[in-house]
Amino acid sequence: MAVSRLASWAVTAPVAAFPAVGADAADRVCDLATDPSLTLARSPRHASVLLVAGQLRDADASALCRLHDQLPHPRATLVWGGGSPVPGSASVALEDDPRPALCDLARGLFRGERDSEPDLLANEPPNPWRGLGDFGQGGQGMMGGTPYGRMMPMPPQADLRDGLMLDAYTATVGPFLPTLPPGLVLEVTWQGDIIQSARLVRVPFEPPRDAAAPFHRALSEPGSISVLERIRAANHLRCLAHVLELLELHRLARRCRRTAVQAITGETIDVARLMRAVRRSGALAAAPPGLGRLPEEVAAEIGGVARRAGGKPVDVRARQREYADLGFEPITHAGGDVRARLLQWMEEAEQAVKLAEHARLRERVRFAHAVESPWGPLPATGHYEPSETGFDFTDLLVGCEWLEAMLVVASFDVAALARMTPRSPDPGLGEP
Amino acid sequence: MTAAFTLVGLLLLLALGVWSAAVCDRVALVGAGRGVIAHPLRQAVLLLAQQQNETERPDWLNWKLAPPLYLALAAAGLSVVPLAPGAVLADVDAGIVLWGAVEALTVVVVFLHGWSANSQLALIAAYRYVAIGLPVMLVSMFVLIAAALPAESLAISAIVESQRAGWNILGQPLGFVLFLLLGLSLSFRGPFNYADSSDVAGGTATEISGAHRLTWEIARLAILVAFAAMAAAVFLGGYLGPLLPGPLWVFLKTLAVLALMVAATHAFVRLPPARMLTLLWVAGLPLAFVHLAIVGLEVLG
Amino acid sequence: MPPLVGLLLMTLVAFGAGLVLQRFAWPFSARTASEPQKVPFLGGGEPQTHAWQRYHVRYYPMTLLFVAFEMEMMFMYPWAVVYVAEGVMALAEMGMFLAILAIGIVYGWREGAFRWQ
Repeated sequence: MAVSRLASWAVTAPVAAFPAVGADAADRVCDLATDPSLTLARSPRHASVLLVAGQLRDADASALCRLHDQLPHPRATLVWGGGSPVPGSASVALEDDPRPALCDLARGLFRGERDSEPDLLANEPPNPWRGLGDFGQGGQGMMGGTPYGRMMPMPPQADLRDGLMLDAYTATVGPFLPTLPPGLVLEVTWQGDIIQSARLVRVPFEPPRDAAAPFHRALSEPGSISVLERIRAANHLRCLAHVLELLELHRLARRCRRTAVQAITGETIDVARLMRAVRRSGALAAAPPGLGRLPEEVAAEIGGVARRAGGKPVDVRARQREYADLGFEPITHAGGDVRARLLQWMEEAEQAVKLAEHARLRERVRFAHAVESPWGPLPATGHYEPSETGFDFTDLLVGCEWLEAMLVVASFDVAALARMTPRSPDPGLGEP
Repeated sequence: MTAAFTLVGLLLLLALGVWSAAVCDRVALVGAGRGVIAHPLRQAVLLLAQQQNETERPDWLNWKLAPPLYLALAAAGLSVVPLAPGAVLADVDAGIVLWGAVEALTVVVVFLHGWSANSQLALIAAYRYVAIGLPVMLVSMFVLIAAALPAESLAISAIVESQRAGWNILGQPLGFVLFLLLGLSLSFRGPFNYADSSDVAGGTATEISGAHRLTWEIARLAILVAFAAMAAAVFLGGYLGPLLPGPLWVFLKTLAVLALMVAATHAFVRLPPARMLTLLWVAGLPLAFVHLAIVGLEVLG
Repeated sequence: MPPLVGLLLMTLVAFGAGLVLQRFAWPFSARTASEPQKVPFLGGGEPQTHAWQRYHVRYYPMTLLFVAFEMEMMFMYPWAVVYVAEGVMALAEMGMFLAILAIGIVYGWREGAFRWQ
């Protein structure tokens, strides 16, 4: 068959996979994105394999079903760590490399050796079209018709942003939107592309356990400064890569992710050069001054990068003799907005690599009471609790244009987001 | 007879241009590796073998017609580019005006493509693309008018002929730089990717798959090729050049502009729409005015 | 060949090629989408209604400004052709025209016409 021969020749092209990222898998998926033989798709429509990475929450099961069915045929699912919510899917352990399995799946699909996975949901429209005309233009009078097919003519709450009464569009986004941190589900009401209101439905997954573990251990036994600082640098570089991706700087994002991998493996890396390239691209000019400014008392409670980006040199490391010997001094930036946090990540990544190189493997540190992780001070309970201030990060998104709102979210790490949630969780808030 | 050759030549330029642009894109993103030359073809075959998606109640006509129309606009724009003296497929006296119409219709087609999907993320992308596309188009038209001044004609062939003494890029470097913005905007890439970008999960292309997506991506590259050929004709002297035959010069210069565009794609940040809008109206357009004035004085002086 | 025939030919060839390419049907491309497949992508999230709505058209002020400048462009096409023949006179005339438009831009900027909301 000429067709299948052509397809099997073509299938040596990069496999397009859409990642559905669960707990403890964000870093692994980020590292996977550096492989040229793999394309991590931005939309499930552009993928042939659904990569379910890490353990998902029960609350995300229906979202996963929806996502699975959105992939075009031929499609397959690879479960990478965690249980198998999709019948007939292949699986690999979280510690293993999923790339061979991904390639096998894609090859099998396009050569016709493997059947395409059927839908998980019933074949019926979730939003039936109830307008009268072809384009839902029917209905009886202005208020007639149903909210399906056509909006209610008036927004539920009067928001005279431009002195105009316009339709509001409400939808839940996430937990698998590549633009948002894994696991974060928001209910967003738009007016055009401006966010009129946003409500937290489910908090994002906490920082991956294997990255946080060395910091937890450093409280009880001396840990290598070099190892700790390299994890910090890698974390900041990955956060930065996500922001750069939002700003269409894909090549630079790739470089950041590759450098993050090298930071962990302990290779000599030139972060300073990378950061110069980021500055030259104009990435810092993308965030308007004052965008996503955090109130000082909130920053004070969250600590870490968000605090130092607000101009306060608060860092547990500054009190440690081992760090003082290495000439450590906290970096700060004024403003407390998106731009300051980006700068903070960039410069702290550079600083962390320098510290790691000076410390080598000899220098070890044992933290006395608290430890400065890449996500600020570690919580005593092991889980990130909502802060005392009751500040909700979704308030920062109101009135933002979509891209600006995404920049605001991306300028916080997942721990900070988990802390800036309402104290009394709404009934709709899922299990963290 | 010449017309037939010109048609074949232009189609060849389009096909080779699309291929080289796709290869350049791949190299720019992940670096040159084994099989990079065949990479676009492999991707194309895989997309052909994939199911075409549809959405809930799309606007069928626009949903299906937007990609071929986009491709047709690229071809229409390319048809006014001369391959050699006298070898112009559509030698209209007002070539620049025709190109301007192609620019305007591109904005319409991209908008309709995003709108027709009936999907929020695609809708956001479509609407904001129009807001950015319009001022970029204005800037480019001022630049083209400035290029027409020394030629005393709006025909592209006359503009190429007027560069026998020296390419326009030497006399109008600012115009060339401003014109490059148009190329990025027409094919929405890099700093002007407001239509198919990551923050909206692929924008107007979020919901498309299979052959539909293949046609859309080819059309995106095709309009880039048409733009590059236009830039080569207006600023780099088109078919003018020593030793080699005219059409080969056109091809080489088009490739050079394509490579420049791919490099620009990855070099600069894509600003939030509000910032870009202000930048274009407050800095871009006045710069185009200044450029026109400088060229006007140059031509008289 | 008359120029418009060439233009039409080239456009139709590309349009036809695009249509054929898009209609290209292999086993899977022929399959029609099922209902759950058609749900718009929101990262696993769910829309409450269809997306078409009375959208706030942010480009609306842009189109008005655009029309003003595009009309100006209409005058510039013939102007460009006779520019060299007319000389400094033409330069001064167009300079005045552009200066007025530039004042319009400055005014629009001050009034916040280029803000997103």
